[in-house]
Amino acid sequence: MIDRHHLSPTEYAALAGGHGGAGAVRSLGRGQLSKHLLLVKFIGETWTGDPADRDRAMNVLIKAQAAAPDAVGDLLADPMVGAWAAWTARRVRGTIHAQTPLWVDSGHLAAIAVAAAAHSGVDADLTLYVRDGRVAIPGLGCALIAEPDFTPVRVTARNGTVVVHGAGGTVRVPGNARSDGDSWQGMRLLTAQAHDHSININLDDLDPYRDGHHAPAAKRLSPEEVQQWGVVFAASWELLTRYVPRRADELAAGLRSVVPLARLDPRSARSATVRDAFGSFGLTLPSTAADFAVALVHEFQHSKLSGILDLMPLYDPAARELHYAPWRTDPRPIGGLLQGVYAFVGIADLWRALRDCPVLAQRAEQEFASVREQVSHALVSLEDCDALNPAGRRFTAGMRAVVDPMLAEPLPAGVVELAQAALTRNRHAWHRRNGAELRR
Amino acid sequence: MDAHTGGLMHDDEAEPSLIDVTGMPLAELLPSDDTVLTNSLRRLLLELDHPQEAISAFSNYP
Repeated sequence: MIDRHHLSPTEYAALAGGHGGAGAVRSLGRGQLSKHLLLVKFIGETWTGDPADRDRAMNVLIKAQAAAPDAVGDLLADPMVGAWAAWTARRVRGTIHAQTPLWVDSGHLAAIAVAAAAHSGVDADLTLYVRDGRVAIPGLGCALIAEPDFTPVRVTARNGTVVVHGAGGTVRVPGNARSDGDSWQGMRLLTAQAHDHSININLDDLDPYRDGHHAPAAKRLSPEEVQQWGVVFAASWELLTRYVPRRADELAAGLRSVVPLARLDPRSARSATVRDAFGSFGLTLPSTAADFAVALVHEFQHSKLSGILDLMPLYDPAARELHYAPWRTDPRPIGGLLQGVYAFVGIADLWRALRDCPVLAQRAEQEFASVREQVSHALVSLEDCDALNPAGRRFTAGMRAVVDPMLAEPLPAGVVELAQAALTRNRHAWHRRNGAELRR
Repeated sequence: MDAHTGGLMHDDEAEPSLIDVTGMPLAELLPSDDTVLTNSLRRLLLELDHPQEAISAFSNYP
């Protein structure tokens, strides 16, 4: 008998309250692994390329999983495997279209199999495809191959050593695949350690499926840029571990990568989460530790809620009602409103805690006052939605249980008045812009 | 995460959740035509058919 993924009442209540803890996050991650495995099965069954390529890749995966189940499980649960699997499944279903041949997208399965072979030590001899002058191996890096797009390239793995056999020469993946080598770009790592909490995530400027945000993924970062990312990330980790250690634990348990986004406007800072990539998000380089900390909390809330929604529906996705969300200029469907409220519950919690940080106290007090007003207002809209199902109503009740105490926290009257006035102005501006579609 | 009966599943939740295949070897999963597995995959694919967009698409203009 096949079991189903379920969150325990304790996990569900904790997640609804905006946290969840490392254990609940790991539970959500296991749900993602099941999702990815099912999609791998679907992609194999609907294969449009040479069936022999599929069979060789699947056989390597099967052997690698038998030899190193934990390592291969980690690989298959990776957010970029999720992004690839969902993208390819949609292409097979005909709900999205692209210029890249479908057999190239399906064929990325072989690249995942090569990574599995590298992790497990099993042998492999597979066909991968060139894209943008690179042959990508998930989680490891890219070989630079100066051949046209979609050229097939033989890749072998022997005792954990991977070699890419291009027509112009071979590229041997370095023993430490994260380091750059001859014609090899390794996957960079962001690491931080503070207050007995450590974290290691990919700084992913390589994976061919890392796109899908509202800004294009950045090209390969220079060593100087990587250093900048590392410095700001480490400083944000210091803040998170000192002031919101439970959120730091969640991030360490579930965040796998960040994707640098191209900075299209020098004045703007962008961040975004793609639902298919649990444990990853894209962002432009934050200018301060506080900004990076806010992005980490904000976007990981989206990952958690997306993981929950993969386990159980919380609302009717066919609902057509649109709503005001204080942090957006456009009307939002219920799914967008729910994601926004959940993200800003986390942000409010962060700013509340950062009031204890001497250099951030003044800003944190005003941000906390503003965000709690926004969340409370949007939460009322959510509570009024007919499209919520019973599980969704319990989820919003869980958020209300943490938002009301936030509202009850005493703040200087002037700070509260500023926050309330800003929300009123924002709401009126939104009405003027979207009045016909306004619900409340 | 609880197993089948120990977790959150109320009578008012009409749709069963995702099946747990994390303990199933690929050698069994890939050729399987189990009905429960097939139905869970079908629901997953229907969910993917809904239009997707970046969830937050958050932009700050200081």
